[in-house]
Amino acid sequence: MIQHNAIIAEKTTWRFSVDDYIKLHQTRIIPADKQVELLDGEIIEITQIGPMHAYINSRLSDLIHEQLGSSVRLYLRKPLRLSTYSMPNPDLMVLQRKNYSHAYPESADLLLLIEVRQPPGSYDREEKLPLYATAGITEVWLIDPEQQIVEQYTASVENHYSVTTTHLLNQSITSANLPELKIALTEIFDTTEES
Amino acid sequence: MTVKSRIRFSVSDYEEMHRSGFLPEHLRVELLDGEIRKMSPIGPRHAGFVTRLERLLHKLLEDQVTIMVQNPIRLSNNSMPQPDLMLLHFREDDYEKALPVPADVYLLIEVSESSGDYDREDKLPRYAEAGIPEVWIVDTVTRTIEQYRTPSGKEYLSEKTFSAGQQLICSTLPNLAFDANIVLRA
Repeated sequence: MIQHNAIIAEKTTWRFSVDDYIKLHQTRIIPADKQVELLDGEIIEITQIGPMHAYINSRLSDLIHEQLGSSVRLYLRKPLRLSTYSMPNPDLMVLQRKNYSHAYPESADLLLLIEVRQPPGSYDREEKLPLYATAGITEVWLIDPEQQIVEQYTASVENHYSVTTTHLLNQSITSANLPELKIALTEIFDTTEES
Repeated sequence: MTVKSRIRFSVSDYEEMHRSGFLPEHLRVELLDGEIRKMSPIGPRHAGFVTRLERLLHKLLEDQVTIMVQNPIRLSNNSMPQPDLMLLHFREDDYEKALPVPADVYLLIEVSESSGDYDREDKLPRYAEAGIPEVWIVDTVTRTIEQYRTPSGKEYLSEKTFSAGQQLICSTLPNLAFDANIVLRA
């Protein structure tokens, strides 16, 4: 019964387009200090990230910058024009190096997208991965700070990824799109010896 | 704990969206509890029931009340639905200066077919919460009229169902008394 009602509510809720969503910000109907993202026409409030999550984002951006230097552009928690009805703010986007000052990055600009999983963990995977796959994002990493693993999703087919590789703490991960990017998981998760 | 929560809009946000043009005027939408909801399209049966009700209300009540058809009510800070019919305290200006608020309402009527669950599960609790004294849900499928009275919190304490042949009397407007069959034509 509850599920039935949820389905009805889903169907009747108004879907905002990315253009609407941008206008809602411009007109301040969505206040500038409100952290939101647009997922499949719904404006979702993003909860404040914890210190571990913030630290992993920063550490990853350092590691990527060290290895790829200025050959790519890094965006941290910035809007991505994913489709007509979706504009998420992924944790980290590795983008082709070009000028994005007049238009937000689109899926074709992406070399690698990284999300850090939030506890309890179902939100990013279940809500966003199908949207990323549908938009043709070719590689996604899902960092799981609880289990200290990284899941690597490649080969998007329709609304899912047909290849998932799980990397453990004693292993390293190499990007499929960017073979020169290789990161040992201990570098992501080991926060004891900060230099 | 990551909770997926939709952003909720106020009535003034909603009005601004209409003014700035990205909720086009021809769209059938309403604001319920901060969410913009699409209303189901009006089919011939729904339209016929609303027209029949409107004729009956005009006949029985004449000029004692203001009758509004499918117009918005400012229900709360974040709800502005468009009920099928509202019987309101009479106003010379026909509410031209400001949309009605719950205190103006004698009776609110929803004609329900495909939107049955939406009217009962989503809208009715908000009407109760706003203190709307009486609501009817006219069900075109089961050919019954549900009468909800005595709002308390998010529910109505009194609920009665009328079929053809039964006499229905509005608690807030006693002149509004008729055989349910006039509306239902069962």
